[in-house]
Amino acid sequence: MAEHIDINATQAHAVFSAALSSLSRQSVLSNLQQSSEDTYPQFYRIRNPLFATILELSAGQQPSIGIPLTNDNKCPTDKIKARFCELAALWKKGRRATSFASALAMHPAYQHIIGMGPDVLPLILRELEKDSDHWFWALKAISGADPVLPESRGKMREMADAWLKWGREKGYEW
Amino acid sequence: MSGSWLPEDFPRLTESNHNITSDASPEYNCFSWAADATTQRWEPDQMDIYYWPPGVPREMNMEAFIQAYSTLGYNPCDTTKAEDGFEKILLYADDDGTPTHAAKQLPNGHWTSKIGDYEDIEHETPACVEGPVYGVSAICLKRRTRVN
Repeated sequence: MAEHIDINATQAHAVFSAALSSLSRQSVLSNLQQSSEDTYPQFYRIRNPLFATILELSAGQQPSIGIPLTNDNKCPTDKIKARFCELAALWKKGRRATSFASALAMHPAYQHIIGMGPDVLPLILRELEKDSDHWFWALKAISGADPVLPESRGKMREMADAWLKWGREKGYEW
Repeated sequence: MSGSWLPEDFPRLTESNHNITSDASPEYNCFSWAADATTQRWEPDQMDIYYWPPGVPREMNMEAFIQAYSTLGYNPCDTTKAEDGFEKILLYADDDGTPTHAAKQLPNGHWTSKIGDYEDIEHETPACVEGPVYGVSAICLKRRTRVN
């Protein structure tokens, strides 16, 4: 296993969420390299593909998740939509019975969505309007906003409504 | 009838030792289900997205989870056996001792669990949901039964 791993900034942003950004790259890699099915049985299936993705990126390969990363935000809207839909489907398909939404947000496809940046906010809001789901981590990580009142925390419909209201106020259309 | 979860995630669940008791829902999780809170997810996430009892550290360790349920009057106990006049919650943990799941005891001595974002089930014993996802049962909590 390589001792020195180099990931460019765009790729790293696509893989790591704001939750991981406070950790140094080496500490993240060290943590992931130490992960095993023995020590993290319930998260192993989530962490393992993330670890594999990082190793692929470090070797200069496209991640095997099947969605090529881009180095800019110049993709036409239909490409962004298509990529988002594919990643969202991968995320939903890759779910397990974890008790924690924060574990679901560690799925590589979810991390890719966060890495796509503000362009996907209206797409996420559209998903959220259709169905209560765990898009709050991505919304907060991408936008830096927190429109949910303290008394609404954990109440999925109220949280979704707060974000939809925020989106409309910010001029997003979906 | 089988649930929405992957069978390999719960190798000890059999058709004869559990019943599905609800539809799937992301509106609550096992921790809020055990706390009788079905309109709010309990999770000590670092992004401060989900509900966690005020004053309890938002940490993924057993101490924080015990403290969270202590806000409802639960305290650690020695046995998972049903006791008249008490209700019990069982916390599960992985090999590291990190909490993974909570189940609540029913009056008949069986247990009820919310399986991820999937269905609620009634299961005969704590061991029924042990396995690669939830690890093993770790700490039992109890409080005097409250009459609403």
